[in-house]
Amino acid sequence: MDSIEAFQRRRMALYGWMLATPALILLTLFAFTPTVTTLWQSLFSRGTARRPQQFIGLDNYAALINDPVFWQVATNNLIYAAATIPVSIALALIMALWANARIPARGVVRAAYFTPTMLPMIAAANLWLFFYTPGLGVIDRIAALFGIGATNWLGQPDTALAAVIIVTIWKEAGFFMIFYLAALQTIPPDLREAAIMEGAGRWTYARRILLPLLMPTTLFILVNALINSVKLIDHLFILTKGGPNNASKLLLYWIWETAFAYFDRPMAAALTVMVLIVLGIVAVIQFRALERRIHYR
Amino acid sequence: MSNAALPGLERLLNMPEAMRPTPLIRLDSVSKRWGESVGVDAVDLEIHEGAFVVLLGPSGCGKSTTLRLIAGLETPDRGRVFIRDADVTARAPAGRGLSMVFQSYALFPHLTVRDNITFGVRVRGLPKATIAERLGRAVAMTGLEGLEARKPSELSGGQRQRVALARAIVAGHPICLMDEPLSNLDAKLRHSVRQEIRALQRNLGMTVVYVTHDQTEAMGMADRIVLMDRGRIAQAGTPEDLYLAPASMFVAGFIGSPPMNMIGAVHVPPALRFGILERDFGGDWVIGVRPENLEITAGGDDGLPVRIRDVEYLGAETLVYAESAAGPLIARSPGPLPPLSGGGASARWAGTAQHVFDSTTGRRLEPAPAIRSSRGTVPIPPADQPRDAAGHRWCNAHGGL
Ligand SMILES: Nc1ncnc2c1ncn2[C@@H]1O[C@H](COP(=O)(O)OP(=O)(O)O)[C@@H](O)[C@H]1O
Ligand SMILES: [Mg+2]
Repeated sequence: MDSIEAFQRRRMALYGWMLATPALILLTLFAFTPTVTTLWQSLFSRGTARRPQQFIGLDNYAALINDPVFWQVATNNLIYAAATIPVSIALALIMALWANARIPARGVVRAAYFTPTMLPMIAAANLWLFFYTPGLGVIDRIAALFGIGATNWLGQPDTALAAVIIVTIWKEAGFFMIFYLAALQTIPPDLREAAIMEGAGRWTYARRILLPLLMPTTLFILVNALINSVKLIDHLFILTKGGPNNASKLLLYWIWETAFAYFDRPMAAALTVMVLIVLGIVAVIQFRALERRIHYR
Repeated sequence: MSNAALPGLERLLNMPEAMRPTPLIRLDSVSKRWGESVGVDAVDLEIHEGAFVVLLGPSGCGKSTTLRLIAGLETPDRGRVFIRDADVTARAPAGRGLSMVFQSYALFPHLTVRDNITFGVRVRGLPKATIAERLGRAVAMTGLEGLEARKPSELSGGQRQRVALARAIVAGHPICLMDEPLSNLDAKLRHSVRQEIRALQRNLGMTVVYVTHDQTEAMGMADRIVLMDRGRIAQAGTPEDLYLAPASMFVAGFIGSPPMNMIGAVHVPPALRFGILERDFGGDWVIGVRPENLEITAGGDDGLPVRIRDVEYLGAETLVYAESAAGPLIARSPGPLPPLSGGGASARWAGTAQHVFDSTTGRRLEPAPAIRSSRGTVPIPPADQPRDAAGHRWCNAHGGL
């Protein structure tokens, strides 16, 4: 008896490993190996023609921490995340509720909200140049009607980051709306009617029933928005190139600059490692803290 | 239900018409349509306090629409809705003082049983002590003790149904609307919950408007049945009224199982034309006979010749399936039958058991005969005469939350 049971268990373990193998191979090739390589590379100095690379331990990290640009870029990215994540999620929810209601031309409304998502980020950025161009752009034309002078939205440190943030929100909200829309359509209309019969107003229904039922979707969107707040930098290439004076520079853009414009690969590797660590911690916190408070059906 | 238990009821029924209390719920020629599809069409309905009223009819006949119009979840295109003499046509559902049990139960999946039941009273801001007291009572009444902390997904179908009931009880409203509350339960459970709902309604003195498509459920539970057909009321009355004096062929066919036998006039032998030829009905007519009033005997006498196809012995009763020139017939007799040969037999019925309908309009032609029921001979008034008040059974209305 025992040996049969042990045999069965070994067979199941074998199946398990066999099923996991393709994913393991791919992950090793394309995720684990590059991560370890990056980590290893960040421990070396930048090699030049005269001075070859040498092992310098954590010196790259020390240099980063002492670099004021690092702190500025990190702050920029924090502001970028703190603005784009909540605003785009809130907008997405409002748009989804609107597009889910019984309104005329519902299809048109949904398509209109979703269009920005289908545009490539570079195209979207080009589009927004038409809004932001000083003097000629749509925003300044409208401002001129009210007698306000031209503003260089992308060219001054005070407004550059905000201008970039607005483009990101515009791009993301429509995408997230689709997820909320799908989730809203799985909520039976009976629930709303039951709540109304029980005396709940629109706001009470939203807060006590709708939002809790949308929590799994919100978590999913939150993770996506967080990833995007690090990942989504394409528009910087068109709009500001991180300037002026680093005012709109984000971490990933700076990593790209360090690696491919200044050719300081080890420093870029050190930066990458730091981003990886921060993202890893955030992911763990998110799933641990939120998972417990979410009702999955 | 014996009349001795209801001294007040006797007095109410003997009151002159004008002195009787006004109905609790009144629909005044209410219509609702969506484009081409008709929800309800000019429905007039009166529901008295403490009554258990069942809206019955085939799928799509407008039962749910009627219920939702009372609830305020739909607004009528035409007509008015009154509750306690107040015109509530434009009033929001929450302001009408009624609770509702949905077919799907509509429990909030993320809330515990306790929070589901008390959702409404918490929203309305009732004092904590009151909520706790009502919760305790509702939970005890519906037998949900010990399940208060569970989520709906951790309950069986029957338990979920009880939570929905408890939510309606806790609200403390005098009116409860139920839309096919038993349709998601298995047959055995359905039978016991049926009685529990009836007992709850009696104990709380609630007025219940109950939707179902199941005529046995309606017959068993209702003080009053409102049978609907394609958005209109086909007949309203006590279960006895509908069974003993159906106002149309539709009612006759819908109420009773197996359904009433319909026999075209040309096939009725002279010996069974009880008083019909003498009176001129003008046009074609159809004789309806309930299976229990149809007697099939061997031998060729002056009855309707039939050929016996099958005999089903069901213990308490036996069903005989026969073929005749007028189509298939079903007869029901109590207990086992002496063996009938498959050959020549004939069907007969008593003159008092026949229902006569106009075959083109489907309307009842003849005033209902006095029919021997289990309670003795009951004279039935003509079907086309309104007989709301007299035909209406009342219910004791003491207690209440
Ligand atoms: N929201 C709606 N939109 C369009 N037609 C509807 C709607 N609700 C009900 N109907 C129509 O009204 C008729 C009555 O429906 P309903 O009252 O739900 O019937 P039931 O007696 O089965 O409960 C049906 O023909 C149905 O198609
Ligand atoms: Mg229905």
